[in-house]
Parts: sequence; C-alpha cells; structure tokens
Amino acid sequence: MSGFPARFVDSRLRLARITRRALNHIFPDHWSFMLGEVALYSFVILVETGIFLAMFYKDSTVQVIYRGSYHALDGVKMSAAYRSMLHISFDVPAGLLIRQMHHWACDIFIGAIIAHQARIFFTGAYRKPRELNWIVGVTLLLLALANGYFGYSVGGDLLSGAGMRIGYAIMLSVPVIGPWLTFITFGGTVPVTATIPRFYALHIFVVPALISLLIGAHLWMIWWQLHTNYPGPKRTDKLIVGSRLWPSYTLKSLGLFFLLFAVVAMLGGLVQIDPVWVYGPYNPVAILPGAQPDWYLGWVEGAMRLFPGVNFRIGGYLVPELFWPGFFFPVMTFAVLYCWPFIEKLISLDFRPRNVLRWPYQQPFTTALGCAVAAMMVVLEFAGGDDVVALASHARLAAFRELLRVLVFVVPVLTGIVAYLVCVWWRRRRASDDAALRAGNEAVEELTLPQ
Amino acid sequence: MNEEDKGGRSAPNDREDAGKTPEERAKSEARGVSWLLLGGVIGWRAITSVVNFLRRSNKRKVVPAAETTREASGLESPAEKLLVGGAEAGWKAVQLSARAISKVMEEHTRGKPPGEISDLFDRENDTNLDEEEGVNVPRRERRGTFLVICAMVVMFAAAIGFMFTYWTGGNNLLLGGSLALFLAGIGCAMVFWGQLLTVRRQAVAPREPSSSSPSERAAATRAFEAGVQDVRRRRLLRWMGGFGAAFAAAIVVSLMKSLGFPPSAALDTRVWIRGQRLVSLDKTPVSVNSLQPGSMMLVFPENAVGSEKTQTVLVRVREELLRLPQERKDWAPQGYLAYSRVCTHAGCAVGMYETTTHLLMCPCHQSTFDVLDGAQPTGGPAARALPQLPLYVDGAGVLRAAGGFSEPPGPGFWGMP
Repeated sequence: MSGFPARFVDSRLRLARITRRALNHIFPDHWSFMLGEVALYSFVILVETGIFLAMFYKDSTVQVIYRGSYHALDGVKMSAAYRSMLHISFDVPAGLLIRQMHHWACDIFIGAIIAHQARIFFTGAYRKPRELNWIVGVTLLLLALANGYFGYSVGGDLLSGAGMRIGYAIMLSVPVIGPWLTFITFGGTVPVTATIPRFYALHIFVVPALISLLIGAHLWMIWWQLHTNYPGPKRTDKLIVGSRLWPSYTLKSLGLFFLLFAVVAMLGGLVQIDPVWVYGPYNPVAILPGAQPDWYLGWVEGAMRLFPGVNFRIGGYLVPELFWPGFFFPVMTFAVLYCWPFIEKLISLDFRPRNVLRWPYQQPFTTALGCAVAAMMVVLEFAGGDDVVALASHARLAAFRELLRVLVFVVPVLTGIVAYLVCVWWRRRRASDDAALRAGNEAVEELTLPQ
Repeated sequence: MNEEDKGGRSAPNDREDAGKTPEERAKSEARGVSWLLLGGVIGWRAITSVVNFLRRSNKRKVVPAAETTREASGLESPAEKLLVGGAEAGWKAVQLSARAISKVMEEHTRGKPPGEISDLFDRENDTNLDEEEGVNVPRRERRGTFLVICAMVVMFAAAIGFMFTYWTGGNNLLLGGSLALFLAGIGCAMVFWGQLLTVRRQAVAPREPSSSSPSERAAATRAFEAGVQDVRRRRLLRWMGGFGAAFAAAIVVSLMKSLGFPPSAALDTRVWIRGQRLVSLDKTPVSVNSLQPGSMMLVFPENAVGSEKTQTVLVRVREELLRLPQERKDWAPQGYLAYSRVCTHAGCAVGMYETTTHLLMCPCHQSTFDVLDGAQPTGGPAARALPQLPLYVDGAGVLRAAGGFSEPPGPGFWGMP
C-alpha cells in the first residue's frame, strides 16, 4: 500500500499518522447506527440527482404556451418553470427517472432523519457530552423540512401553487413582523413572479450549503467524541467496542450507500411520485380538492385543520387563527426539541458524561413522552388528510373532525400511560440482569484501563 | 449483530486453509470452478434474455412492418452483431474479474497471525471473534465468493441493460429497474465481501475524557487573554471594530429593502372601485339575467380578469332567504351576492358552492361560509367572514360594484383593519 500516489501525498502533507488513526477508528456494529448514514447517503443522492435536474429546470414564471410531447397540455398557457418540469418528465432522456428519484430521495432523507432522531431520543444518546450534536441534528431536520417545502414549491404546478399560497398565509399571520417577513421572503403578495426564483436559490444553494456545513459539523463531532455503545459486556463509559473503519465498516457502509441508491432508483423508476402533469399548471382561480402537502408537513396541515377558528385583536391588531397551528405550534415543537437535552437533565438530575446508551425502558418518563408525541403526530397526520379519509370511509367530515379534535389529546395521553407502564414492568423484569452487567463492566474497566 | 456476545473469550485462531492437504485444495478448487460455471450459465441466460426482450421491444418501435421477416433469420444487422459481441465481451470481463476476485480474496484472507497482547489500542490485538465454534470458515468464504460473483454478474447485466435501454430511448420503468439492479449488484457485492470474505473482528479501545484537563484549559485561557490584553491597549482599534460591525449590520438590514417591503399598501386594499362592471372569465359583463337562484359563477372587475386577489364569487339566492345585517340590506340587488373568493383562513380559492345549504366551501381546509348572512364562517378552521362586495344594477341591467370589498381580501395579518 505504499504506492507512488500515497508516497507523493504523504511526503507533502504528513498524513501517515492521521490515516492510521482513521483506519483504526472504531464504529459500533448495531444496525440502528446506520439510520443516520441512510440520511447522509440520501443527501448525497439528492445532490447528485439535483445537479442533473438543475441543468434543465428554469426558475421563471414567464407565461408561455406549451408545445411539447405531452399532448394533453398542448397549447396550454403555463409558467416557464412548469414547462421545464414537463420537459424534464417527457423529453429529457432519463429525466423522469431522475426527477422521481430526487423526490423519493427527499422523502427517504427526511424519514431517515426522523428515524435517526427517534433512535437518539429513545436511547438517550443526546446526553452529555453530545447535546451540541443533538442541536445540530435538530437544525438539520429543520433545514431538510424547509428545503423539501422549497423544492415542491418551485414546480409551478397547481399543487405547489396551493402549497406556496398556504405557506405565505402562515408567514403573514405572525404578529408584528409577519407582513415584513413575508414580503422579504416571497417578494410581494403571492402569486408574484419573485417567489419562484427566490425559492429556487434557497433550494439549490443556500439550504444545501447549510446542510452540507452542518453535516460536516455533525460528523466531525461524533468522530471526535466517538460513538455511543449499546449496553453490553465491555461497553462502559470509558471503553468503546466495535469494528474498525477499515475494511469491514467501509465495505458495510459503502454497500449500504449502493443498496440505498438501488432502492431510490427502483422507486424512481417503478413508483410514480408527484405527477405534475396531472395537476396542471398553477392558476390562481383553479381549485384542487383533496390536496395534501408532502407527508413531512402533514402534521402542521393537520393542526391547521383541527384548530378552531378563533382570532382576536391585541390593541386593535389582529392575531389570525392561522398563527397558532401554522406558526406557533411548529415553532414550539422545535423549541422543545432544541431544549430537550437540557430539559431532560432537570428531570433525571443526571449531569455526568454518558457514553453507554440506555434502553428505552430504563427511563420510563422520557420514553412515555416520546411515544405520546409520536402518537400525536400520527393523529395530526391523519387530520391533515381528514377530507380524504372521510370521503373514503363515507364519514361526515365535520363529525370526523370533532372526533379527531378529541383523539389528538386522548390518544397521546393513553399511549404515554401504556408506554410508561410497559417500561416500568420491563425495568423490573430486567433489574437483576442490568445490575449484573453493571458489576461485570466495572470489573472490566478496572482490569483493562491504565490506572 | 453483536459478535461480542457469542464469546468474550479468545479462542484459537486457525486460518482455515492452514491444515489442508493438496488434494483437499484441488477438490475445493474444482468445486469453485463448478460454482463459477453455474453462475456463468445463469448470468449468460440473464444477459441473453434481457437482450432479447429489449431487442423485441425496440423492434416494435422502429422497424417498419415490411422488414420484420428479417428478425427471424438471426443476426443480420451490424447493430445486432455489435450487441451480441458486446455481451460476449461483458461475459469475458465477468470471468476475468471473478478470477481476480478469487485471487485477491485468497491473498486477503491470509492475514497475519495475532500477536501477543501487548498494545490494547491497535488492531493486531482486536479480539478475533471469527472462530465461532461450529462455523465452517472455508465454506463461508466459498459461499461469499459465489455470492459476490453473482452480484457482480447481475451488476454487469443490469449495466448493459441500462445502456441499451437508454440509447434506444427506453421507458422509465426499464431505466429505473436496470439502474436499481446495477446499484443493488454493487451494494450486495460490497456487503457480501465485507460480511463473508473479511476477517470479522471486534475492537475495544479506551475513550478520551469528554473535557480538557484543567491545565490545558488554563493554558488556552492564558493564551487568549494575552491576546485580549494586546487588543485592549489599542482602544481606537476596538472602537473601529465595533463601528465596523454595526455598519455591516446596518448595510445588511438596508439591503433587505431590495427584497421588498414595506408591505402595508399592497395588503390593505379593497380591490374593487365603485362603478366597475362584473365580468366573467371570458370578459363578458354579467347582467341581472345571468344566474338563476341557486347558482354560482366566478367574476372579476373588468380590468383584472384572472387575477388571484380580485377573484370574486357571485351567487344568486331567492331574496326572501337573505339574512344580511341592516347596513348591507341594499348590497344584494335581486338576490345577487358577491364575496371575495380568497379564503380568509389560508388564502385558497373558495371554489365550491352547495346550493341546498347555501354554503361556500374552501377545498383546502374545508372551511364553510354561509352566503345568506354575509359569508360568516359556519364550520372548519376559518374565523373571519369572506369580504362582501356591494352591488348595484345599472340602467342597462349590468351588475356593477357599489364600492370596494367590505374588508381587505385574503388571510389575516397584523395590522389588518
């Protein structure tokens, strides 16, 4: 392995020591550590497919007449952006494949981030010394959601136009700064020609650059601090157990990348997603019944539908009904997420560095809270599509919505109680095993570590 | 998942082919060759069937009917010869790479024997958990080789399939499917190689403490504060830095103006002007005879047809049903009512009208508005009524606006009157 290129580089950059350390870096073997990698690799796929799409997409709302190979829309007036979407889908070789892969990779990206975050949450991996990485991770989720929204807003189809209109209304509803914030972001009262170029710049440049930077910070921190371990023999706060980066982990991880890529290609090729030609071009007076946002914003949509129509004035100034579910609720959700590692310290009174994970049953309150929030999100997701659910089940929408207004509180509480009881029961069942493991590991630490 | 659990103990570390006789080696090689042959046959069948399928689907598209007889007579066109030649070359490549794989594998797995435990933190001393009792390691590696080769055959076949589909303008399903198979081939080859053909070891290493030692921290603080002292002495520099930052912030904030504010004028508008005629989407003026009671249409002011903000819904109801407030009594001549079509909740177009209940409904969040009493919300998340447009009928029987909307149309905002 001491070939010419390696000698050439090393005699200039003195990399031998750092390379050796890197090749010997230890990664735990548990499958759940791969969830974050799935997110990372979907971002890579998003960038790759996104570059291809950027070669053909046109961020312009100039009105044109369509004359392409999709005959159903022949002669229809539309924006240049929407025409370029049709061009990618029908005239660019492999264009539809890449566009659908891009959309699927986005869904997988956000899904993997959420799964990864749930794993971190339920195993307490955010505890000291990894609180900062949790904060970076929550920011990454926020940026991913924002970029997903920007991405499907620039399509210029009827669905994305509706999404943009609702996003505008939400931002406009913010007290005091709302109108200014909205005009700075959207460039005027939507629909306005300025919005799509702005969202496009944010979508392909600003947000991906931030995401890349933060991914770098995220990985650097976990590399520097080393991963956590699941509880087990020799896994202690002072020892790490796993396989080396080279070659086993490298092969496993790269294999995962290609398999994920294969899944995305399979979905992009075989499973239709976001058929913009079905919705037609954006037209401010057209309506699209049964419209939903992408699933990762469905919880906000659900909250917007369930929240009662209540608005009031403060000193003559209006606080619209949309503000509470559309802006306040998501902002508070993320505020709690950001603060969670520190809130949890007040509950558990545990301020020491922790490098061994805990099983969910070992901290029943946190687990119960996480399950309750997850249950609430599921109910809100249902509420976000309540018109479709009601239509499919022949229920009356108003009655169904009243039911959901009850369920959105009842289901989380019940889920939390059940989760708490299960955890307590499980902890009692495992008490003697856990104590034995702890005692064994203390002995291991004394034997192996230099005193 | 967790090899460590199978035995924290360190078992003897025999390499699998250490005690093999030449006969055994020859036997295993022969077995390897037969596996290779089987894999080859399967791979060849895969390639030929893909090629046949693609050729047929392609033929239907480009070859005119008169020429189809030539298809049966075998390889005629240079393109077909090229194709089959390419497939054969691909198969040669598969064979060669399979040979290379087995060679590399043979060298790779013949690792160094583990030394004495002297240095806990390097890889020579990783607990080797490979020798699970009862696991036939050579068999595992043969299986691994076979699986890696299979994956690579799939990969090559799929790559050829993708190329062929792409260059012949193939459809999305075939492109996605072949790309997926190609990538899955690479991925599977890597995973099989990593899981079956490398020595699996578990390593244990100590962790560094999460924080710096007090002395390191003190040294860093001293270095920083020495610099701070230097800067402090130059008071002018500090002031300049402060002002520079303040002006930089001021410039950035000023540039926000280019992005578009203040917004109040654009938001606080009543849209219609007294005297404007109501026209439909095809710009015909709306007269008193345009609608029957119980029906609805989309109207605009005559100078802004098709615009989002000016869109107005016109409904006609029987006059005796109206429950408008006193000050709006004369806004609805002959039962014609006009409301802003932009939902006050989130700004969607309120495009649905239910004749029997006299409700306008927004398709986005299902807010409903009662047209009889000034479009007050009756259900769903909206809190404010749709702004109403006062109407009058001119001498020619055409409907005209008697003023602007009763409120600015659209979703609410801070500072909405």
